Amino acid sequence: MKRIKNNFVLLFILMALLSPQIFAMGGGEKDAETMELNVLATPQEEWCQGMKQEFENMTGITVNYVRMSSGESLARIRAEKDNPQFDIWWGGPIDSFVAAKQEGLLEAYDSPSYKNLLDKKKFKDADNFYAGIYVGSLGFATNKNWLAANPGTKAPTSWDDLLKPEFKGQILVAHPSTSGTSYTALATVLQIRGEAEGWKYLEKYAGQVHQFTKSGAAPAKFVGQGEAAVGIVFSHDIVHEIDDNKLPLELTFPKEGTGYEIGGMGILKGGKNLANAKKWFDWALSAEGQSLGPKYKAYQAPTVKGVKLSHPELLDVNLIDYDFLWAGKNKKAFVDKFSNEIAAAANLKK
Amino acid sequence: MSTNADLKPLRSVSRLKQRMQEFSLIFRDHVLALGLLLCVLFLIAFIIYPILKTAINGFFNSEGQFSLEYFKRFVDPYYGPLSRKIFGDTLTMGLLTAFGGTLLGFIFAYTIVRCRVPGKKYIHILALVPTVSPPFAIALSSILLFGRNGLISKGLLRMTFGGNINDIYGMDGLVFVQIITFFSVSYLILRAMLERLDPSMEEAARSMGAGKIHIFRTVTLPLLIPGIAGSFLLLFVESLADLGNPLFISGNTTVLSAQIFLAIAGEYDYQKASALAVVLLIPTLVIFLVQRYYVSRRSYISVTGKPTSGLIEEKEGWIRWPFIIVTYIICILILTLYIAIMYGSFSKAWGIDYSFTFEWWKQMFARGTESILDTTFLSVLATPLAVLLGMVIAFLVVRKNFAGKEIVDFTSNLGGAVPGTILGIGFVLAFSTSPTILVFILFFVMILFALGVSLQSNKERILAGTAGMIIAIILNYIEKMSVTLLIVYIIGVISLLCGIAEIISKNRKAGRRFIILGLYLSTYGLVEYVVHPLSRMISRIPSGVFKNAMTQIPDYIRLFFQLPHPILGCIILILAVLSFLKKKTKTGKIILSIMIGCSTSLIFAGKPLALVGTPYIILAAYAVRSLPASVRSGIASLQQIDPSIEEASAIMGADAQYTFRKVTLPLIMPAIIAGMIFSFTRHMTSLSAILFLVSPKWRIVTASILSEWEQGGISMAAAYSTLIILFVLIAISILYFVTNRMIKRRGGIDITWGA
Repeated sequence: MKRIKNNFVLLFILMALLSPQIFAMGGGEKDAETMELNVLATPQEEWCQGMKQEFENMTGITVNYVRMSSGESLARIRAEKDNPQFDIWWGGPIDSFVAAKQEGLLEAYDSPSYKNLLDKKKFKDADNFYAGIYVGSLGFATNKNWLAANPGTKAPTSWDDLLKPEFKGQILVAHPSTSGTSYTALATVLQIRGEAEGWKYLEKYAGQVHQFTKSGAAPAKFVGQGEAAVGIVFSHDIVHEIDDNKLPLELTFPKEGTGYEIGGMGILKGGKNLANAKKWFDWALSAEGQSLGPKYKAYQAPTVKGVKLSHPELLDVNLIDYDFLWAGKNKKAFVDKFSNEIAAAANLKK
Repeated sequence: MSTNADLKPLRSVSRLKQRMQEFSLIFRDHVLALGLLLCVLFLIAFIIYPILKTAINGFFNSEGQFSLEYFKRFVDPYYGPLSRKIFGDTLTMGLLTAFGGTLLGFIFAYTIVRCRVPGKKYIHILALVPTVSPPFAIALSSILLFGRNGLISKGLLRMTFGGNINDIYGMDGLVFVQIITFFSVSYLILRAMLERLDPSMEEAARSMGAGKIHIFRTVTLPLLIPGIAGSFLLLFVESLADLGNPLFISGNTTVLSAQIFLAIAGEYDYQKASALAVVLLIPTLVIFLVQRYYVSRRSYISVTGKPTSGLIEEKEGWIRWPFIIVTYIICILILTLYIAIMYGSFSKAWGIDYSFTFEWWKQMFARGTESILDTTFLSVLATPLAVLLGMVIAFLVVRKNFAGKEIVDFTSNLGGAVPGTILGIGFVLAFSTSPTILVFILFFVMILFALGVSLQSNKERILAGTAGMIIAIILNYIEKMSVTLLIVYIIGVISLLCGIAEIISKNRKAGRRFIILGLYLSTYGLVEYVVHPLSRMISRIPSGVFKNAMTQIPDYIRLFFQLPHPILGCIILILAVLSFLKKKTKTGKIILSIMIGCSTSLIFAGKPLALVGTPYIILAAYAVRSLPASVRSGIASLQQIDPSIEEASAIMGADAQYTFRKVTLPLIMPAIIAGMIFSFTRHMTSLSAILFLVSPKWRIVTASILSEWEQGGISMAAAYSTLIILFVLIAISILYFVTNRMIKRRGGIDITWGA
C-alpha cells in the first residue's frame, strides 16, 4: 500500500516536471533539398508510369506515384491535410481542384509555363492554384457483340436512350463519389436538364446501372469484355480500349450535348519537395510534356500550344458549356445527394 | 457484530493483495515484466486506441459537436429504408455464408475423417488453399468463369445476360464467393472435433441397435454442436468483415463494409464511416464474445485432448459416396477457380481472345515492382514481430496469473477479428498527427517502470527522475533550437560517453552495450551519407523494371536506422535499466538518470508517433491483423506442455530466461513456425486494414490489385493475384523445409493451430 502511495507522489512530481516537454512537441522537421517527388496521379496507369519515367530520365529526380480515382484523391488529400504525403496532384477533372482550392489544400504557383496555354482564361485558375493539362469529352461505349446478339438494339445516342428497357442492368458507370468521370456525367445531366428535372432523370438512370465501379475508365474495359452493354466513359478512354486493346466497342455521343473535362494539376500545400513539384508543374504545361500522352496511349487533347491532337474528332461533337466552377462548388452536396438518395435507391424498389 | 459484513471488505482486500502479489511475482522477473509492459503498450496503442478512436468519431461531426446524425438515419423515414436495407443485406450475407460455409466445412471434415476417401492429403491441401490466397481471388476467378462473359457461363453454356437475368453479380454470387473463401475455417474446426470425438458413445448406441441416422441425430450431432456453432459464428464475423469480395462482385447490392469504404474513399465523410463502423462493430463484437466465452468454452476439452483410440469409419456406401462425391465436386471447383486465375493472367483478352500472352505479367512488373517488393519486404519484417508478440502474450496467458489477463488475451484476438476497415480508419484518425495521449502513456509507463524496477528507495527515485527531467528539458530546448536530427546525435554521443564511463568503472559489459548503442544512434544521421549517394546512383540507372526495383533500397536501409524517436527512446531506457540491474554501481545510477533524460527527450522529440506515411504504421497494422493466429498457436502448444518440465529446470537452478531458452522455446518451436506461416500469409493478403495507409513511398500490392482491376483489367488483377499466391506458397515451403530440418523428431506442424 505504501508503495502505491509513493508511486503517486512520484507521478505527481513527474507531471510537474513534465510541463516543458509539452512545448517541445510542436517542433517540426526542416528538410534539405530532396531528390524525390511524390505524385498523386489520377489518369490511367500506363500514362502515369510513362510520365514518371520520362521525368526521372530528364531530371534525375525519383518519382513515387500512387494512382487513385479523383474522388479518392480528394479524400486522401483532405485526410492528410496536417501531414501531407504528396507534393503534387496530377490529373482528374478540374471540379475536384476547385473544391480543393476552396478548402485551402493547394499551393498557388505562378508558373512560367502559363504562357504556353491555349486559353489562359479557361485552362488556369485566376489565382494560380491549378491549371488544366488536358481536355476530354464524355461518350458512350457500347459492346458491338452485345448489339449483334440483341437484334433491334442500337447504341445509345442520347441521354434518354440510356433509360430504354433493353439497357436495364446493362449500364456500367463509376460512382460519382470516387470518380471524376462519373461526376462529370452527373453534372452534365444537371446542367442540360436543370436541377429538378436532372435529379428525376438520375434516379431512373441509377435504376439502369449494373454496378458502380470505383474508377471512371473502368466501364470501358468491362463493357469491352462483355460484363455489361453500355459504359459512360470519357471518349479518350474508349478510343484507348478500341485502338490499343482491340475491344469490340462502338463510340457514340449524346446528341443533346455532352460534358467534357479539363484535367487539372495543382501543387499541394505543405508538400516536402516543393521545388521538384514546381519542376513537374512547368514540365507538364510544356509542349514536350504534353506531347507524351499518345506515346503512352492517352488520347486526351492538350491544353498547350504546339502539340498535335491525336484524335481531333473527340472534341468535334456537341459540347455543352460546362460550368466547372459551379460543378466544383457543388461537388460535395451533389455527391452526398447521389450516394445517399439515388445510388442504391433503385435497388429498394425491386 | 455481524461477521458477514466484516468479512466482505476483508476478502476484497485480500483479493487485492493477491492481485498485487501476482504482479510483484511477475515484476520480480524484469524481463518478463518488460515483456508484459511492451505487449500491453502495443495492444493499447494499436488495437484499443484506434478502435475507440473510430467508435467515438462516429458520434461527432466535423465541427466536433456531438451528433447522432448517421445513427438516426436508420430510423429516419427518408434515409431509413435504404440504411436498413443495407444493414439487412449485410446480415443476410453473413448468415447465408455462415450456414453454407459450415455445411460445406462439415461435409469436408466428415469425408476426410470418416469416409476413407482416396486422396485425403490433396483434399486437405485444396481445402486450405483459400486461406492463403488474396482476399478477392475467388471473386476474381468467379467472374472469369461465371461472369457475364465467363468461360463457363458464356463459353460453355452459351448463356446471355440481358434484362433482368440473374448473373454472378449480386447477393447470390457474393454468398457463393464468401462460402468458398471462408469454409476452410469451418473445415479445420470440425475436422479437429470429429477426430477427437470419443467413438465409444456412438459404438454404444450402435450396439444397442440404433440406426445410422438416429445415431447421427441423437449422438454425433449433439457432440458436434459446439464446433458447429463456433464455426458458424466465426464465419459470420469473417464474412461481415470482408471488403475485397463485396467490392468486386456485389453488383448493385451494398453491404456495410463496402459502404464504409465508399464513405471514406469517395465522400471523405469520416463521421459517416465511423458511425457505420460502429453499426458493423456491434454484431461483430457480440458474436465474437458469444463465440469466445460461451461456445469455445464448452468445446474446449474435447478439442485439446489427444486423439482417442480408433475412429469410426462409414462402411455403408449410401452414406459414404454422397459425401465423397460432393467433396470431389467442390475440390474440382476450387481447383478450376485457381486455374482460372492463372490462366486469366496469361490470356490476351478474357472472354474474347484466349490466346497466350506474357503481356500482363510484363505490364505488372513494369508498374507494380515497387508495390510487390514493398509488400513482401514489410510482410517479412512484420512476421517475427507479430510472432514474438504472440508468443509472449501466449506465454503470459498460459503460464502466469495476473489481473487483466483475460483482457490481454481478448484484445490480442480483437485486432484480427474486427473488420479491417475499422482498424484502418482508426489508424488514420489516430496517427495522422501526434497522438498526445498515447505519447504520455508511453512516457509514464516507461519511466515509472525504469524508476520502480531499478531503484530501491523513493528518495533515489525522485532524485534520478528529477535529474532525468532536467536533462530532458535541456535536450529538448536544444532540439527546438535546431534540427531534430541533432538530438539523436547528441544522445548518441552521451551514450558513448556513458559507455566509456562504465568501462572505466570496470563494468565492461554494460560499457560495451552503451558504446554500441551510441554508435547505432549516430548512424541515424550518418546513414544518409550512404543512402544519398546510393539513391543518386540509382537515379542514373535507365528507366525500367530494374530501376523501379532499386529505388526502394535506400528507404529499406533507412527503415532500420531511422526508427521513430519514441521507439529509440524506449530502447535506450530498456538497455539502461537492464544493464543497471545486472550490476548496480554508483556510476550506473548516474548513467541511469542521464538515460532517463535522454529517452524522455526522444519520446517527445519532433512529432512523436505521427506514423501515417511511414512504413512503421503498416508494420503495426500487419502485426495487429496476424496477432490472433500466433497467439492461438502459442497458447495451443503451451497448453500441451506440462509445466512440470519447466519447474524441473527451475529446481535445478536455472533462471527464468535460461529455462525459457533451453526448455520452453524448443518445445514450442513448431507453434512458432506455424505462427510465422500464418502471419506472413495474413500480411501478404490483407487489404482492408492497409488500404488507407498506402503512401507514395510504401505501396501495397493488394491495394494495387484493387486499382489495377479497373485500370489494367481483370487479367492484370489475375497476374497480381497469381504472384501473391506464388509468394505465399514459396514462403510456406521454405518454412516447412526449415522445420523439417530443424526439428525432425516432432513430425509435422499442426497447421490448424493458427486457424
